[in-house]
This record gives sequence, structure tokens and C-alpha cells, in this order.
Amino acid sequence: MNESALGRLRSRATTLGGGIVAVLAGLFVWQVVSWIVNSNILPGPVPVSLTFVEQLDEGLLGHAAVSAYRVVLAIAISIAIAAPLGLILGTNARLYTLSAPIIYLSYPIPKIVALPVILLLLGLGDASKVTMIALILFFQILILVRDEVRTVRPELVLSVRSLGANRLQLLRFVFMPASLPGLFTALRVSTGVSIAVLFFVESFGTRQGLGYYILVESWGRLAYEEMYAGVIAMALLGLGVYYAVDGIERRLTRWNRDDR
Amino acid sequence: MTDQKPIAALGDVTFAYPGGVAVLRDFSWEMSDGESWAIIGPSGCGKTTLLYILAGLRLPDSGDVTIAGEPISGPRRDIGLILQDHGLLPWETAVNNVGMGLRLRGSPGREWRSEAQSWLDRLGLGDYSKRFPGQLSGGQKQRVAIARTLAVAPTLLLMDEPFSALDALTRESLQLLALELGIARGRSAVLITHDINEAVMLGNKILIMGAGPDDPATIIDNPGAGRDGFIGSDDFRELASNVRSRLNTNPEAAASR
Repeated sequence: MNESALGRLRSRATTLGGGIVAVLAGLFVWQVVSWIVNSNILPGPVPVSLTFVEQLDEGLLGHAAVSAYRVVLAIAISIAIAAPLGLILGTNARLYTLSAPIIYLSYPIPKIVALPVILLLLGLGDASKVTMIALILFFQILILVRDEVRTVRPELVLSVRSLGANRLQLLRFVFMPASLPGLFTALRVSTGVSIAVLFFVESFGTRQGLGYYILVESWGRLAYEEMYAGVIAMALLGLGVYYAVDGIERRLTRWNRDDR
Repeated sequence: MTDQKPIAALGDVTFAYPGGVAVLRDFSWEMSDGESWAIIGPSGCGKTTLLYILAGLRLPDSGDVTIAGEPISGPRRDIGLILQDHGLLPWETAVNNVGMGLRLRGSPGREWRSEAQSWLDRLGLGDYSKRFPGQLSGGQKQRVAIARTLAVAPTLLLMDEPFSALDALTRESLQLLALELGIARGRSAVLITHDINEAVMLGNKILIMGAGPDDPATIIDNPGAGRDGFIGSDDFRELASNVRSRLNTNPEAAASR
């Protein structure tokens, strides 16, 4: 018990150490390239960091908060719709068979092509931006939850049914917890894409968000230091979402980490 | 020792899996309250199907199934089922798994937790209540599964090869635990097994099933089961060899162990 706690601490320290080394290496490369380029289009890490801190007060924090709100809302909406649907499709053989071809055919379509339609239907505001991101997450979650549920061993279902579980209780105690690893995998692999799409949809029809800050307020005004500060904020947002997902997963699927 | 009220009865039961041939055909059988039955037979003879029908997890194509005099239509709360593959939920701790049946029945948290903990204590797993199944050995998992089933106080206990996936020593200790828990000593139970010694050790009655649905089944009375000193005695060995020879009359029916 103590030994495993110590081991976990050690591995966490190793991860942290590795992270610090990676960040330092990145900053070093950035600095060297900036010296070589020697132009105001690529300022070094020091002036950019100073601008970053200074800009936080001058609106950057607000833009970051709006972006975070959009992406977190999109994640919440996509989970709320896709996870229950995945549970239903994964536990109902007939619905699974009926839906499989539709999902199979629509999955590879890059969802971003639906953007014009979404803009026409929902307008240029937050609704369309959040919907676009949610749509991308939706398919990932739906498919991974559905497939994870289908791997539940029949013995588990039989034994819990024999204890008197009704269908709702089977969902609550068996299928829902069984689907969590799939749900978190879906979130982890699609965090990057959702931040990328966020950046894109924030470049129009809004005066708030990191995409707007980077593309319109900084790049458009040739304010390069501000632009890089925005890029850093965007990277931190992605990292934050990723670690939040990771942390919640650790908490909720403790059972899944030890050898089964 | 036992009263004669039938706790479970099958009348002319026929069952086939979808698209397959019949596993049971016009199968009739009855057990009295307080009896422990061991059912033994070759793989594919339908013994597990028989147990699932008793558990209400499979409904027969034709024939009557009654539990405590009532026709069965689905899983019943007075029937406990223990499977070879323990069937514990990997995401629930041992104590939560043991309390599962009580939770499903709406028992308040404090109540089911203390009940589950006392079963874990009784089965020697008191210190493991916070562990997940993945952190337990095979024998410990099966003990947790037994505790989970007994915690809901079933009047009929159904077991599908509960010890066959365990190593010999663990199996033996769990067979002794089964005796301690009343198997062959007045608790109504049906035990599916392919281990002849286990059948003789834990069955007041031993039902030997034929290889196919049309091969006749045999019933052997085993009054010694559950008595102190029976295991390893001459009577025990004689009965075991009797069971073995009956299994061997049909070469297809030779038990794998």
C-alpha cells in the first residue's frame, strides 16, 4: 500500500520532471530560432511572456474565459446527448443493427463541412460555435461508448439480473460504469480537434474568444507579441481541458488502473 | 431432516437455443425444501441451461417451471445465483459488490454497507472490503460472490461450477466453506459441477445427466453428504466410484475431471 503510493509519487515526479524538461527545451528552441530570424514577426519567449502577463489584465483573460466556456459547454452537451444514446445503441441489438450503417457512413465525414448549414440554421453567435464543436465530439463519444458497452461480459449482466436488477438498474450499475473508459478515451482524443475548431469558429461572428483575439485583434493589427500571447493562452486552454478530463477520469475509473 | 414441500419443480420442460437443437426435452424433476442437489454430466448436456431456467434467466419453450409452488416468469429475489466466473462488477469495491443485491432492493446506504461488511467479515475478507475485484485473488473473488448472493438471504441457492476455475487448494477450502454455509446441511441448493468428488461432498442428491436430451438421467441418494467424517470415508469413495461408473456407461458422458 505504502510502496504503491510511493511508486505513484515517484512516477508523478518523473512525469513532472519530463514536462519541465520538455517546456525548457521548447523555450530554448524558440529563443534560438527567434535570434536567427531576427525579426519582429518572431519575438523571443521573454518579451512574449511579459506581454502575456500584461495582456491578461487587458482582456486576454476574458477572451480565454469565453473560449473555455464555449468548449466546456460543447463537451457537456455532447456527453449529455451522445453518452445515453451510445448506452442505448450498445445495449439494444436491434437499434444497434439499424443504426450501425448510418453511423459507419457518417463517421468519416469531416463534421466541419456542416458549418455552413449550422451557421444558416443557428446564426453566427455562440449557438453555432458550440454546436459545431459538440457535433465533432458527439460521434467520438457515441461510437466509443456504444462499443465499450458491447464488451460487457454476459456473466456480469446475468449475475446482476439474478440479484433482481431491472433494466434501469442494469444501466445504472453495469452499463454506465462500463462505458466510462470509452467516454474518457473519446474526450481525450478529441480535445485537440475541438480546440482547433474553436479557434476557427472564433475567427468570425464574434468579438470575444481566443480565436478572435489571435486572428482579429492581434494578427490583424500586426501586434505580434500579443498574437503569440494568445497562442500561448490557447495552448494552455487545450492543456487545461486535457488535464481536467484526465483528472476526472482518474477519479471515476480508479478500478480500471490496477491489473484486472 | 427436511420437510417434503417441493421448492423447485420442472414438468416436461423442453428448451432449445435459438436455431439450435433441443438441450432439454420433456425434462421433469423436483426438489424438496432443504435438499442440496449436485448435478453432474458431460459438457453440453444442458446442466447450465437447467440452472438458468431455475434462475428465471431463460424461459423454457414448453413445460412448467415452479419455484415454491409459483410458476416462474423471470429472476426472483428469493433465488441466489453464483457463477463460475464470479460476475463481480469490476468498478465496485468488494463491500459495494456484496451490498449490490440489497442496494437494488432499495436498502439505505448505512444498512446495506454494514450488512455487506458483516458478510465479508464472516467469509474472512473483512480487511479487503475497499479492494476492487481486480485486486483480489480468484478464491477471494469467489468468496465475495458468495457473500453477495447470501447477503440477500435467498431461499434457494443456485451454483454453476462455482469452484472449477480455482486451484485445488482454494477449491477445497471453498468446498468446506460451502458445507459451513449449510450446503448439504439443510440449505436448499443446486450445484452444477463436473467434479465427481465435489458432487459427492456437497449433494444430498446427485443428478447424473445424459449426454443428449434423450439420454436418461439418473438420481443417486447420498444421505452421508454433510455429515462430519464423511469426506474421505469408505462410503464417500464407494459413492464416488458409483457416480464415476454411471458417467462412464456412456463414453461420451465421461466427466472431464
